[in-house]
Amino acid sequence: MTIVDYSIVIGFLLVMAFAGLAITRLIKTSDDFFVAGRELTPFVLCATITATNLSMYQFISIGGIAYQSGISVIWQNWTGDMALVLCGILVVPLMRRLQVRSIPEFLELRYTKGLRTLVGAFWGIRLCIYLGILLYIASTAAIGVTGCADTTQNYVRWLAAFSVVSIIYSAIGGAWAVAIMDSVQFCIMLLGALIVLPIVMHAVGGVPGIVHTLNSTGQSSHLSIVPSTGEFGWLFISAYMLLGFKWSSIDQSILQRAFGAKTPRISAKAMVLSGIITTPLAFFWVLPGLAASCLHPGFDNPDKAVPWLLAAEIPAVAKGLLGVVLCGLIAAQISAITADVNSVATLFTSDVYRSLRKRAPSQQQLLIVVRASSIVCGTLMLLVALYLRTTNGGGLRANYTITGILDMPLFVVTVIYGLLWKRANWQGATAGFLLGGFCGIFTHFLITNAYFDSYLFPLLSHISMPLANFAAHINHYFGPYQKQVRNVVPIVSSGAALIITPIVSLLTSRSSHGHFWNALNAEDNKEEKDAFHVIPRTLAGQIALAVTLIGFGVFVVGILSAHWASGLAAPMAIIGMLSVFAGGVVRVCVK
Amino acid sequence: MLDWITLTIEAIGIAILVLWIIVPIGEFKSIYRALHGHGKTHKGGHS
Repeated sequence: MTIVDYSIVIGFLLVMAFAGLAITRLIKTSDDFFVAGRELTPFVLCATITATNLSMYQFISIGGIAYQSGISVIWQNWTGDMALVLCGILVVPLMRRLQVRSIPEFLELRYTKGLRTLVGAFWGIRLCIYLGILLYIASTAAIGVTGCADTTQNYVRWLAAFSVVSIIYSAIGGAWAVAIMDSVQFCIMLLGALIVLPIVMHAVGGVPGIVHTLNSTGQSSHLSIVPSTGEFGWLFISAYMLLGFKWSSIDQSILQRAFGAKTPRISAKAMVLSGIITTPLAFFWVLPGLAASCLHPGFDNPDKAVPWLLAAEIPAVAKGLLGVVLCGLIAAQISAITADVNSVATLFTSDVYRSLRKRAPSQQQLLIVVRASSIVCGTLMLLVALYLRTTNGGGLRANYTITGILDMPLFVVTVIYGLLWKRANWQGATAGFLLGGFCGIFTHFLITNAYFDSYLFPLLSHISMPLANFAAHINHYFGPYQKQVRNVVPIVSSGAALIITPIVSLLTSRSSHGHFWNALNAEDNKEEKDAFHVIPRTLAGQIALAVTLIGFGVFVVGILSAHWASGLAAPMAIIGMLSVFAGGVVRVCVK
Repeated sequence: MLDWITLTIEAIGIAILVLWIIVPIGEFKSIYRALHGHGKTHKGGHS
């Protein structure tokens, strides 16, 4: 990287920091900090949701998986996009109507205060670890792109570059700074992607060049959109569809942005819009990954493929261009970090600090605590990022597994039973969340041979030998699925929560939450001028909802048909996805 | 030379970029007017 590139990057970071600080004057109350005063409009909200959703992880790691395993990893984004549309019209407007700031707050309204504190603390810690992972990916990738020496000193410098600016303006400017700066960063990120794509595609001979090279080098499986086998086959797509629902309906960093909407309809519009525009954008990181697999196959670590491609192809075109592209990557990263820092601060202040205090704190006290929590969160994420460097990324894989296990039970108790079944009570929800997570962890240890032999079998042997032998039998039976463990475990943990929650709820006393169900009804809310009914009142709305749901059904049938190597799998999955988008757009535009 | 698929993706990306430069500016103006022009109102949360 040249001095011109470095100057562009440093200038960009300074402008971001000062612009973020200038937004401080919009913060008057804690709601300004948490949810931008609930004043956000559709396009601004869409930009901030999209920028929160996209980080260097997409450009580097998903690009790296495309390099290693092929185009089917694109479904990791596309399933999330469909989930954004479906949750945008079916779930989030309901939650927005409740005027909550976080999912733990929703859990208190629906179940009990204890569950709010438990989930708030769990989610806060989990987001701090996730932020550390984002920083680790970003700093490692920045070293690769710039070509500087892979030393701890350089790693710490990049950590500082990514974190200091984002901590400063998210701690001071809160959700307003996140929303406004995300809109700017979304454009810068997109500009970087628009520069990269034509350059790398030109180098590889365009899409026909990729197809020809992959076919002639025995990598034709890279071109299968819905593979019937392999780690990124139909089971991966199904598991990510479930995780997508979880992510877009209960993920704090996404929802907090949506809760900043002026009305429930605006939150629905923004989520639908975000899902749709992210869909074509996925090509901006998958195609460079495929191009790298043609130009330089053989990287042991696939995360190195896209940084190598950028360092090799971009500087040859023009001086300073690599600096602009790096600004795009940094913008993607900072927008994701700031949103999560803001979310952690909200979780801690709103769900833990407020719950533990006997007297309601003043606005001034809340603002002090929320800013202090942003700084503590930033410090924790730096420590996690430093630790990950010592484990060479091992902690990263562990975190993805853990979140896959624990988040799905939370989705079940929040969305499925929280919104759809009045009889569900706090005992059932707590049991479903904890035992669902336990079943997921148990399955992970049961299927993974190394964990089973080292930990689970010896443990079960101490308890009961017949039980250990039975577990060994199951371990042997599921042995072929070991590589798919990350896809199987979320299905198991959500299935367990689906069964446990109603059983425990029915065995314990009924609880009444009449005010909660009343608040969900738009007609009861006189302030709601632009009401958004989940079940539409007009024929056009009903047809649009039907198209959306039928489209999703076609997608599911298409994905499942890949199990039998059906040639219709990919066309059905794509047509189903496009129908979901078309129905979703019409649905948010009509009553 | 670039193929039509790459050009189409690039064109969609440019269209999104242009749209997201123009429209949010107008939306930010209306938010600014709402906050400073007509006095700010807050809709508080539940807790």
